Amino acid sequence: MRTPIAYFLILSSILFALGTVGVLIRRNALLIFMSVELQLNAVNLTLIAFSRMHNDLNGQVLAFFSMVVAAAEVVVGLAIIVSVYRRRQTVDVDAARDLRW
Amino acid sequence: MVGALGSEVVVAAPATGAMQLLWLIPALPLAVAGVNLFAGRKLGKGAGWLAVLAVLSSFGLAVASVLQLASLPGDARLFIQHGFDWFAVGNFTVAVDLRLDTLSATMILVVTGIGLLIHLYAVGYMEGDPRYGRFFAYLNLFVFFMLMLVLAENYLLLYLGWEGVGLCSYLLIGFWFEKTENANAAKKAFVTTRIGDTAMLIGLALIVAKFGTLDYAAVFGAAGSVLTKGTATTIALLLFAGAVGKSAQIPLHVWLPDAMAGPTPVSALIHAATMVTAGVYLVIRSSVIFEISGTALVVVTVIGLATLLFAGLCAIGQDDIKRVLAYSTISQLGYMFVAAGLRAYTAALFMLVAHAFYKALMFLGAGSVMHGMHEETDMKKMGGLIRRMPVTGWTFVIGALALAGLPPLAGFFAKDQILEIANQTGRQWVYVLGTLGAIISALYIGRLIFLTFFGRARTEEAEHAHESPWVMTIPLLALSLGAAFLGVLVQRSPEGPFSIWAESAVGTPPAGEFGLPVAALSTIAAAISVLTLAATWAIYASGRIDWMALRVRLAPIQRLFANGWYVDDYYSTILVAPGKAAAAFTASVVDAKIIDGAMNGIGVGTRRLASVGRKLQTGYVRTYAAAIFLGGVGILVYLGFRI
Amino acid sequence: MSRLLTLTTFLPLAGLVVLGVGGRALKDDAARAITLVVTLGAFVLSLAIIGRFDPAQAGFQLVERASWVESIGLSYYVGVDGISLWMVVLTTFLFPVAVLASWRVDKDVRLYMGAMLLLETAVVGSFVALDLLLFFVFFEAILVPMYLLIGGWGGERRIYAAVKFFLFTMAGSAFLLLATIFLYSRSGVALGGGNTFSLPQLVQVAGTLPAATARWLFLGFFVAFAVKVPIFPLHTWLADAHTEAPTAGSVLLAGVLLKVGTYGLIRFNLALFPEAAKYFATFVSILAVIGIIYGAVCALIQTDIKRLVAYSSVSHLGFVVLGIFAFTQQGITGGVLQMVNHGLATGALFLLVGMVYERTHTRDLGKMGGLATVMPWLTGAFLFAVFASVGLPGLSSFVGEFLVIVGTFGVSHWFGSLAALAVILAAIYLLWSYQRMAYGPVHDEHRTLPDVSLREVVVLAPVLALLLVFGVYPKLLTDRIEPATTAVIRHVAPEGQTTDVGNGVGIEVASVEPGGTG
Repeated sequence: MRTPIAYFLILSSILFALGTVGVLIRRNALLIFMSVELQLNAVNLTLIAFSRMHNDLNGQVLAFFSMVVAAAEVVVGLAIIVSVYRRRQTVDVDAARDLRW
Repeated sequence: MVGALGSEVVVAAPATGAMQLLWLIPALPLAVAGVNLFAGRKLGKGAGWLAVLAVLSSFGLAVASVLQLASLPGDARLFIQHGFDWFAVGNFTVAVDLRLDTLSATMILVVTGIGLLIHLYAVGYMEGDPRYGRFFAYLNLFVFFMLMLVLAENYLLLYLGWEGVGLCSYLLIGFWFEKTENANAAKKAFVTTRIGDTAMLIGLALIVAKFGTLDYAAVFGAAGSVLTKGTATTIALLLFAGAVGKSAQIPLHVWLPDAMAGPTPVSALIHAATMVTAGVYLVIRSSVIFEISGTALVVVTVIGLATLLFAGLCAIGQDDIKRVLAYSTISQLGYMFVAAGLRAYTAALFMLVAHAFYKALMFLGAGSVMHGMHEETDMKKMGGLIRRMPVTGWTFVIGALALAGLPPLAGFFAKDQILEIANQTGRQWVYVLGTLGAIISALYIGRLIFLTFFGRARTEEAEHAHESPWVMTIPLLALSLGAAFLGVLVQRSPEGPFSIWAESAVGTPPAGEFGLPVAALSTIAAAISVLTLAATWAIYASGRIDWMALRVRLAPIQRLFANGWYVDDYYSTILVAPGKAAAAFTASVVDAKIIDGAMNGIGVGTRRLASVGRKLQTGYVRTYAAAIFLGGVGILVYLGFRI
Repeated sequence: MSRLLTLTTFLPLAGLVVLGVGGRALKDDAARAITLVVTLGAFVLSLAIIGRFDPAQAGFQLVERASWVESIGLSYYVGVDGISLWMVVLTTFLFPVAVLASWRVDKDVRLYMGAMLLLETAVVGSFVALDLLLFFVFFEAILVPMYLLIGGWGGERRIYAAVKFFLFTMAGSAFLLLATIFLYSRSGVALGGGNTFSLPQLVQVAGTLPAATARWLFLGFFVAFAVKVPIFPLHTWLADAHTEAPTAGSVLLAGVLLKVGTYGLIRFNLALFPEAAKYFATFVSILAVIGIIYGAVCALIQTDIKRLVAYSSVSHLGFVVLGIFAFTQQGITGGVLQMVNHGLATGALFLLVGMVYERTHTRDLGKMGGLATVMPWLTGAFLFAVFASVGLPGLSSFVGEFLVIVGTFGVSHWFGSLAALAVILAAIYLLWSYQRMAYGPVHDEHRTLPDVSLREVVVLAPVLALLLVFGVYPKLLTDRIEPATTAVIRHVAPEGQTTDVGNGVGIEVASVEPGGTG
């Protein structure tokens, strides 16, 4: 007997909610970054669950895409965070608010 | 009486002999003007003589053409020379065509003949001027435009000449432009006449709208059937507005006294003999339209009479010898308009010719006086000059007596005949006021000659004045002959040889059926002139009356006359100042604040909106994240409700 | 098939490429020389266009057509008629003059000259384009070099002026683009084929539209061109742009750029929406008359000579618009004639103002005076241009003005008469400004200023000569303009309205030719 899809979705929702809250309340760029990864993985989990439910591999392929893109994004993102840190000696996102009116 | 050209059938004379060269008459001065303009400085004194030569050649050709015209039978005296099409759009064509009939023939003789003498005079008068060549270039250019004005066969070519003489007048009044008042006078002359010209331009547009053409022959031929009385009045009055400006009649007369800022030969040629008479020419030329209207003729008469009296009184109050003559010119032009308004076109034309002689003579005489007195123009500082400069003095006296209407000089016949026609056609009010004008004329001109040439010399300079060189006195002598004998020779009565000559172009003068006998009228006119002159002698030259004391006692009137009844001041308070204020308001409030303000306001508004909107960009990453999150939730909720 | 139009249009662009390739290796003088030669070359080519042009024919000539972007129906489609012919020639004539007049510009010469060349291509392209999108491309391309010229080489407030110029024109163009695309989107259905931007075909398309739609589209086109002309009350950018632009910029702005607006009115508004044009004729004529008087009144009070001439342009361009919307033979022909004449007369005025400015370093009339004493030839030329601009008969502007007045008068006495009043005002403001500049006593610091140089004579002489030639013999122009305006009138004129104020009653002169024996 298969695990019902609802279990996966509930887990995924919890993960996504955790990620979202993390993004919204954390000020450390690295932690925000990790929260974003959490959200991404929540979505990946959903994709895979649905893929299995529908017996369609496209969902898993999409999850791979998502992971690859996420990896690339991490590279760029970390690079930015590092260079911000070098400049300001902090990774507090509220301190980096020069791009505004 | 039939309208001057009303029933005319255009039968142009065969072109042979001198008439074929008609186009050369204006072309020669134009060519020389071009040469003098660009090479005047290199030519030196030759520039003047070259200009004289050009006008002399034109005069010769004009005489030859006129003789040929005169040899034709009376009703065949018309010749039209086609030059080229100026422009042609649709069915509307304006050609450069020249018309020689007895009216334009008379005018070209005046323009080239008197022009020649004045050019000759100017050779002496302008000697030593740094812009000698330029002066003669302008003067010749003027002759060209004036000839185009009178020779034109359509209204637009006339308008070309009309504006062209205005241009030359502008250039020559402001010839000594280093002095600001000369430049002001030049601009005033151009702008004031342009007011009339614009009315005239509208009149031309109306003619085009009614006739589809501007050719005299077509317009005058069709006028009787095309024009209603009302339209004819409108056209006639619009044209007359142009004439009022050019001929310095009330209310556009203000530019002419100031125009005396120009060199004296200019005053003689442009502001006495030729350009200012263009208005009279226009009225005579367009007489067909004026007569259909009828009302317009009355207006012409009234304006002429009013100007005649008004300007005459102003002339009495002037101390500047040239300004007396300027007001006198305005006043005498009034006579011509009175004559034209009475449909006595031959009388108006004869007055025009006679006036050209004696007024040019007096202006040149005044120039000669200034020459001998180191540019002094105040008559109070003259006196007894006739002993120092006899040729100038006596020729001037001839001109003055002609103007005063002393028989048998030209002016007597000219003026007397106008008054005679007024009397005999039953318009006694014109006769009475015209006679009053004659008294005033004799008064101011008597005052002028007695103050200037007789009595005792009142200053050192008057004591030591000297006669002018021969190039200046020869023209004076020649003009004085005309001023003296012209009337006796060609026009001893309104039906004289001159009228018969001009008849084919301007019709016969109206026949008299009322009023006093001719002999009585002539006697009255002669008596008035003699008595008034005697009175002025008694006041200004007999030494028995202290005229300076008289002047002080009559100070308010004297000042009123001297300032031309303060018309200039009224204009500047009523028109110029409010006009300037209105322009300033339009430019700096309406344009800069309201219109540009509204345009810039759009820009400012956009900017304001942006300055509010951009506050949304807080720079806090987490705010953006929250916005994205809420946006995503919002979309999901929306989609959820949709399902 | 002749390639003349393409050559004329893109020769300046080729010059721009040369300047670009040459790069910094090019000396300033070389850049100037190349630009002069290229613009002269374009002028010679345009003379060849006159030579090939058949005056008897009314339609478009020297047409070139090639498909460009087939999928959207965009084609390279150019041709000239009697109206655009003279606009092209006027443009190519004024460019070498303007280049020569900017010989002493020494800041970023290559960029400056490059902008001039790009501008020439854009303007000529606008005049020859017969495809609406192609026209739009050229029309918009005008903005960039002009923006650079004003903003880069202008006076003190050049940035303000440049931005203002850009924004005004851009805003107008947006409506043009919208209306164009709307027409385009209807063309496929109306013609039974693919959509197209071709003008002759869109004329047919526009004919099928309901009247209300056509009126809205008319307004879309109208706003774009009204800004360019400029028609009151959209004129305020002009005074600033003219005042701040460098001499050549002002000359070209007044000489040719404004004409793109009036040309557009004839070419597009009248051709595409004849019914709407009639509907709005009174409205547009009123705006034109207001512009005529208003521009003149504003000019009266200006003390900045360039601003004064700019306002006089508003007044003079009002005449053109008034003539166009009179829908009479004389009115439109006079309007087109006036476009050429205004280009020459006002171009000459701006050239002269520039020369005076180079010497006195002021545009303030109050700080000049007596210049006629120190430089008689320069001020003489100025006076000549002033009188040409005032509309003195015998000089070029008069005939155009008179035809407009007469052509309008036949339709409405009031419009004609009011327009004539501007003639008085023109005399006042131009003569007054001339007097303040040239007459009166000389300022001491101006006593040693030089008169015209040889280069300046070369710049001025052709322009001034043409002012005289076209005043004495405007038939040179009208003979080619007339067939085109006749076609416009046939297309647009209301039934039963007089379209010709002349009646051809002329005196029979055949028998009295000089030397004849009639």
